[in-house]
Amino acid sequence: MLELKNVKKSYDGTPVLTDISLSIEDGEIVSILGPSGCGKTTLLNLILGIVDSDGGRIIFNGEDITDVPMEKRGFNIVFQDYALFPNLNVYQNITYGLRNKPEISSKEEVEELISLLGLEEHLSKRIGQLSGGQKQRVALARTMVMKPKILLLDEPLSALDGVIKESIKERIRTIAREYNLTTIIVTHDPEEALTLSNRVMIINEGKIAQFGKPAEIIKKPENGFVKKFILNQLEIKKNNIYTLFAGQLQEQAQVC
Amino acid sequence: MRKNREIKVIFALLAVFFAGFLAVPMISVLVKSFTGDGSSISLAHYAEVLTGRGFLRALGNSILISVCSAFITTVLAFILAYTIHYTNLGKRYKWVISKAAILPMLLPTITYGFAIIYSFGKQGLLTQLFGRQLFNIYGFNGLLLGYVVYTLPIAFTLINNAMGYIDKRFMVVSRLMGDSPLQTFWMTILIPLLGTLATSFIQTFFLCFTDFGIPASVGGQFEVVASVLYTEMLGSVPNFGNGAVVALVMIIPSVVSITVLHILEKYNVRYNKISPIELKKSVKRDAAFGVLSGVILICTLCMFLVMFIVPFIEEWPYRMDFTMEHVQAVFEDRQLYGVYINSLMVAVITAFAGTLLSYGGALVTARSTVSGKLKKVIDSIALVTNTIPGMVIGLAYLFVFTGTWLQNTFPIIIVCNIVHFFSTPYLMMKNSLLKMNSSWETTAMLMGDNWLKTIVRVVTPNAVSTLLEVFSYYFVNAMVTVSAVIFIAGARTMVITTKIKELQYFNEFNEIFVLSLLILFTNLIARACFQKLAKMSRRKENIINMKKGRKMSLKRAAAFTLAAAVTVTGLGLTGCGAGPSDDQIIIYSNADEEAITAMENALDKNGYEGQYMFQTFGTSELGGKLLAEGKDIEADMVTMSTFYVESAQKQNSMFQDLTFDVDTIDEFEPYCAPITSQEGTIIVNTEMMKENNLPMPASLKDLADPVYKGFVSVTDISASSTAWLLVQALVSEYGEDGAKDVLTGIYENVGDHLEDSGSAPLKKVRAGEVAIGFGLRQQAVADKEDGLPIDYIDPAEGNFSLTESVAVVDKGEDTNPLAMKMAQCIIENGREELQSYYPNALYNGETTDAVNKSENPKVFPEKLTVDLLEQHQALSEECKEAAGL
Repeated sequence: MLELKNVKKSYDGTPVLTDISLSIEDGEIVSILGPSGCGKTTLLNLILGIVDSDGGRIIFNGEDITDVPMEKRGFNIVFQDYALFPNLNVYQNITYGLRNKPEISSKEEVEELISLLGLEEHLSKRIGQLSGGQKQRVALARTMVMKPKILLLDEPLSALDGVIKESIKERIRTIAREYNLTTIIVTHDPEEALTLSNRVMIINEGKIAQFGKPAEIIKKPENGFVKKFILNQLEIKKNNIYTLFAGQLQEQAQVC
Repeated sequence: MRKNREIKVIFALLAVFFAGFLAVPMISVLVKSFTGDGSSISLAHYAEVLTGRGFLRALGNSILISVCSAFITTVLAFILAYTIHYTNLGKRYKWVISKAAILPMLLPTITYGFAIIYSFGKQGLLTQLFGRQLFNIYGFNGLLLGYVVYTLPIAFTLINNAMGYIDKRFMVVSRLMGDSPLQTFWMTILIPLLGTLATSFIQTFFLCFTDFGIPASVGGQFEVVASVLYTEMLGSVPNFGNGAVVALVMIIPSVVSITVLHILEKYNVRYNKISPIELKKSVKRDAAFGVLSGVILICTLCMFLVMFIVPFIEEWPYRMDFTMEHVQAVFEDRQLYGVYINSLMVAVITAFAGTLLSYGGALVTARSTVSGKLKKVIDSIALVTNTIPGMVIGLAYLFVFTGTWLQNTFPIIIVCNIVHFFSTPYLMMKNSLLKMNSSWETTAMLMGDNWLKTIVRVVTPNAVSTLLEVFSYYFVNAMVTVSAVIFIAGARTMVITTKIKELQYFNEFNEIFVLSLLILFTNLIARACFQKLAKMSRRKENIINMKKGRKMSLKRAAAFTLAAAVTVTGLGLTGCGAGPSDDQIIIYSNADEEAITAMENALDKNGYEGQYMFQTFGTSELGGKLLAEGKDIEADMVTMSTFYVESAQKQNSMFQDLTFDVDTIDEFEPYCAPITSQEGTIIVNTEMMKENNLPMPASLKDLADPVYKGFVSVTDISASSTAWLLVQALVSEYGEDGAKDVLTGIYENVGDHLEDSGSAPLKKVRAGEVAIGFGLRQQAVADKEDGLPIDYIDPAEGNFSLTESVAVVDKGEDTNPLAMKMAQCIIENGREELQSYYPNALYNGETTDAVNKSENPKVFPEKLTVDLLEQHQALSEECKEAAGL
């Protein structure tokens, strides 16, 4: 279980996060949702350990990890632009961490991951030859080989096109389920957040606006911000879809 | 494709420019290497150079020292850049590092050698502070120090720039993957930088390989290719064929470098975005790198400390009183204003045109989809310009443009600078453009911009800071360069560094340091301005919602700079500077300061004031010019060593017969009249003699006594005619075989103090580097009268002498009749004063002043000719070999 207690962060005197407290259960998929500049990336960096908090505690499985350096926390991240090493090929990227900790994943486990993510045919390619979705999967595999205790994903879907988006979503869910892995996703897209995760945390101006299950958020938006910016967007999308499928829906209604 | 039309136009312009100003001149060097001065094609020059004694050794030395310097420089530059980008040290400290690291770039390399001698030499500032000489400055050590200091700013700039473009987020990934700090360092810093580090290595390698300024002063007997090239081209008997061969050999490594860079290209990592991250806190790392960088910079800069001290001291190191005299003397020089304006103008125009050219080139290679072949052409041009030494470009221009309207003009100097320095600005520009988002052109074009508009509206505004850096780079280098310009600058187009070079022949260290300071401060001010502008533009690039006011001030500042530049240019072009007007008589001379003053006095007193202009050179340089340019030479009149005048006449028939009576004691050719006669003598530093308990020598033969080992300095006859006075004395007294024995013995004692410049031995005696030297008698007399611890001993073998003569250049219809009248005036009215410095009688009716009379004046039994000089040079080479030099 990951807990944050009264965590704060400011840059050059400008507060970015004010008094964040939350807890995330093992195996949960949680999305952090909010508009640009709301502090969601900073929150991700705080959990990962790239930046130090100005106050408050971060506790993982009962252990205070606030002052534990990034590499000792055992969390891992896939960046939005994947940060794959361009001088190495796909397989070398995936097994990069094994050079340092050969015992962390067995050969079979790596192969299983590769097949789970459908990367068998790309293993000897250079990074430059891959499409966005393929890069995303390579980055995911590279991170998963390290068996992170928490998987952090920074805007994992925003650079991908529609069909790929759905398939990656599926793979993220599969991975979380298969490995019972706590997964934290940063996104600005309400649809993505609400369809992918068990729980969604909406952040606005450095504060948690609402933290709950997707259904709860839809049913009981706790404040104006959630209503205006999150639900409105979904409402418009919903209406668009309804308009598109109006004929079909009518047919269905008649059949019933 | 529509988009490529403009790019192809740019490419064509660049191609034409470099074909005319790089390919053609270089081909002429190639042709010269086969034909020499004649017209028949042969491999004789190749055979002569490649089998010649010492050349292969010099080549080996050059490669060794350049590799060492390049390696050390790259490592040091990397440490400095790392300190800036990867530590949490204070902003102010980082600012100091980034400024201090490029400081040496603001000074001409000629200054470096003098700074090293006056810092680390036997009487140097730092030697005195530490109480002992830290290391022997002549040879490998001195060269290494000079080269590293010289190239550090360039390597630092390259690496520092590239480091700023590395995506630091990869460090996070690497750490999360369990990499050790060393592995992280390797993966996320070194690998992305490999290309840049290789470029830096190659850049610095060639700067070292091709520099002449540093080996000229501290090379000692560690001979490098650049000094061989200098001796071949500008030795006392220039051999352009051999010089061309040496120059071509120097270019071979450029082929290697192109290959290496090509292989390394794939390591050039292109990041999609640069994400700043907070660096891991590490006090140890910060402290280590902070201290390391500090030490590197202090070591670098302490060398230049002396520059700020020596000019303000009466006579270093003997009379240590403070004085402003030297500084005042420089500012009272009436030529100085004009020369300074010339320098400024050349630098500004070079910077403008050069920036445009490198920007154009970088646009072709970094932001277009034209075929890779075209791109490779430009990359190769950049590399080739980088690997061709300034000296070679200068000489190639001399071959090609002599006799055209471009000869000795500002445009040719500017073009020369642009070509010579093209490489670094181009690479800076290209790197910066490559790292910009590659879809901007497409985006802008989709918004309806045409190509030009895209460049103006999108690419250029985002490249402003790099453009300004490039501008500043060109400006500074044009201010400090001397190697290329020395061959093509004329009397009317003199710049400040050629002035320094001129002063070098008069041993005017104080003036050299004052002028160096002037260059330094000009460059500092210029750089500060450009940096301010660059900072403002960078702010503009980064801040989205920029306030209107700031934008205006940037534009205004840019406009102001432009206006200032145009004004300076206008001033120079319209001749508002103090440069000479076209109808002035230009007099080229190798004479010493006293002789020039005497001639000026004679001319001024007889109504010629303001109607002439003296331009002084070293003997070998002027000799080279006479032989290479012939009648096309800028000068109307020449005063020069007589045997040179004679051989130039033989080769080029370039002088008119004199129309006035020349009533000399000895017979002279009808086209020349002697002005001075110079004698050689033994010079000693009395304090050094006492300190080291050395017996006073009485003859040249005594100098071969092993007791003087390491205490003697003489000049190499293959580089300077002063040494001829020594060889003449030995040959006439002991015969050729006897002379060989004595000279070998002298060379064994001389070791590292075998000099290329006639005045260098005296310089070293004066500075206390050696106790005894062989040099010109009248200079020693003057030093002694000045109260320096200098004395002279007329050798038992006799004081031999060389005459200098005046001759009038035959320019056909363009000959200015005033030149002949002035020559007559100098002979008729100047001899009295000339004789007070050079006491030997030359004309009937003159007598040699008894007080100044040397004890044993002698004349060599044979007539002095270039052929005889060559014979004696061969003799000297044998002795050098026997002495193991």
